[in-house]
Amino acid sequence: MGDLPAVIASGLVSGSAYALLALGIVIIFRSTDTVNFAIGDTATLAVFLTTSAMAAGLPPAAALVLAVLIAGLAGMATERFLIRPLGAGHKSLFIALVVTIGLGLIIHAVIGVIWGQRPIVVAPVATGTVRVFGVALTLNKIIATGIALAAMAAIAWLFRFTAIGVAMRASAEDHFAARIIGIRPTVIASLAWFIGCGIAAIAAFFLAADGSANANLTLSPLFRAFAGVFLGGLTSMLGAAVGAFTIGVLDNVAGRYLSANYRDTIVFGIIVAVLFIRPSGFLGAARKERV
Amino acid sequence: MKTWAGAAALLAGMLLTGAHALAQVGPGVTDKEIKLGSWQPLSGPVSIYGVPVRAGADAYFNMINDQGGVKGRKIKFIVEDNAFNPQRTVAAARKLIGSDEVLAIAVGFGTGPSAAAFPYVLQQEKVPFVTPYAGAEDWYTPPRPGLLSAQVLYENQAAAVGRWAVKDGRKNILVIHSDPAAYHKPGESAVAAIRKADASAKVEAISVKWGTQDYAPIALDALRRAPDAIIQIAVVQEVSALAKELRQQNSQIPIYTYSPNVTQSLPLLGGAAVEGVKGVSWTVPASLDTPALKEYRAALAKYAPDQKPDFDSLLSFGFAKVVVEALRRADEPLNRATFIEGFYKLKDYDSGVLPPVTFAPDRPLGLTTLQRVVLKNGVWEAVGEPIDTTAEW
Repeated sequence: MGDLPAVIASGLVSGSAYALLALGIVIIFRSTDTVNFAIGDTATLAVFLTTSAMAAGLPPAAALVLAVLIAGLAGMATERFLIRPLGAGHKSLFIALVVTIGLGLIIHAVIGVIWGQRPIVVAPVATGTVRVFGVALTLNKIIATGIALAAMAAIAWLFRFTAIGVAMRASAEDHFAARIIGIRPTVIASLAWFIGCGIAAIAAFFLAADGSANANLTLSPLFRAFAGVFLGGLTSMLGAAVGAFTIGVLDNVAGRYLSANYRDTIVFGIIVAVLFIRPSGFLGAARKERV
Repeated sequence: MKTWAGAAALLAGMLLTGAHALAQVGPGVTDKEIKLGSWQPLSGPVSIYGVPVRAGADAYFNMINDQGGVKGRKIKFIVEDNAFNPQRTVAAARKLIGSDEVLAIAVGFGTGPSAAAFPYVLQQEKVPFVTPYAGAEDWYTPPRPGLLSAQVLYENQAAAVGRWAVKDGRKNILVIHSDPAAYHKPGESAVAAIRKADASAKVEAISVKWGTQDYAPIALDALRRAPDAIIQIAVVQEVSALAKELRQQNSQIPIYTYSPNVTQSLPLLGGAAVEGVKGVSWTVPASLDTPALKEYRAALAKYAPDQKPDFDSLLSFGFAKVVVEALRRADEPLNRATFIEGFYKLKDYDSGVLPPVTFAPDRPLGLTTLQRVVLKNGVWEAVGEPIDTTAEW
């Protein structure tokens, strides 16, 4: 266990991608009550679109910003044209869920048709490594971790201290009451989908730079992000991010000391145990239904 | 002796049950057309292999069609996407055999997925399954009627790689393989071959969940074990991921791998981290300037222009070439039984792509020879002469 600090450090940087995806999921869920299963594919599509721009000479840092904008606008379009027409209510929540799953599959297929199945190499925002507790971590991952932490802080500040953030929280609590006091839920929803998908694009971009851009880029990380969301609490942004970082650490610890074969099983076994004791996650609020 | 007797009995059974069939043209065959079916992972993570494999076979069959076909018959190659999924493979088999009525399944991809379709394809419908991009030792022991391969078994490849590492003087070897049986069994073969080649060598094995993206903890585990060589039996993305993590930690442990990863995708994904990776290849390097390789590159450029010449498409091009040669040598009327007989007429058939192949009722594996290769400056280069994986080379 002498290399435990190194394994934890490695887990934290791996967890940064999960944390960014988890934040995106929760922002969209809290604002529009929609679990967006297409968030990973939307982000992947944005990365693929920016690879074309990078091939034409766009620097990686600018490509990252472009990916965020593309994913954000795609998210807004999804909300406006696919989710909003479904209306509110319990039935529409389940329909929205299926719609986002379907959208994800369509985007996945479109990526395959346009870019083929061969992975595309994406240049990292920064090259080189940094040693942390004796383990070399790529600067690319370190920057992703920094951005994840900064995004968490910025989102917390936005939701707690700004008028638009308070409006988003109010709209999430009660659309009808929010409308009465002059908040336009449609604007709030668009903004939430822009931010949520944009943040997911940051995760996808760094994942692609570490490995490669391929249609399944966010498949496994999204799985872990959802685990982090439920571990931390679907209603808590801080909880979701902390949960996702925890998943990254647990995943690395399990892979290093227990079994590379059963690391998912071990991690998700722990999550099931935690949720059995605290179903709303360790920072989530128990949800009360209005009748 | 037992194998001979079993194979003879199987052939006799095939001939007896197919006696009526021998006299008439088989399903999927007309005066102008021969239908062949296949399944490939054209979607999902394994499509990195499936797409070029399809392209290579397509290119050869299209080229033959443009040259007039086989005895005047054009080949219709029907490919279904199995997404590397056993259930989808069974569904594809039902569609190809039940609806399209193909003569045979050719160049089907995936060991686990293809095996799932055996009860329907080989046992129930008795449809030949030839030149698969797949295989396991138990597929051929004992031989199954209609199952013929031009691919060296993964177990034999892994054993050859293990033997190569020992011959390179490695004494402490770590075998890292994915968890499904198609990777686990070759991993075991590598371990056994290392122990057989050098009883004093230390060898350990780690099983890793298939599809793992984050190889950081596995690399840290490998570094703790401090091997002097790693043999990795996994898909190309995972070989690249491990190499990157190891090199990132300033480790230069040499990596050996098997044929499916001898592809230009490895240097594309792994860059400098995979320089020096050693592997064994089914085919000669795709960049050679022999007539067969020139023909391959010209066909690929014409019929699959979006595909760059590479090992996967070259291998399936070679498989398609073997299939067409068996069709040419098959007696009329062409049906499933005479098609198999056509394979048995291939003795040291040299496609120029694969080593020479020989089939017989007791020899369902057409070849056992591999070429050793090493990745230098992003290009796979041949190392020495081809090796016979069944011999103590």
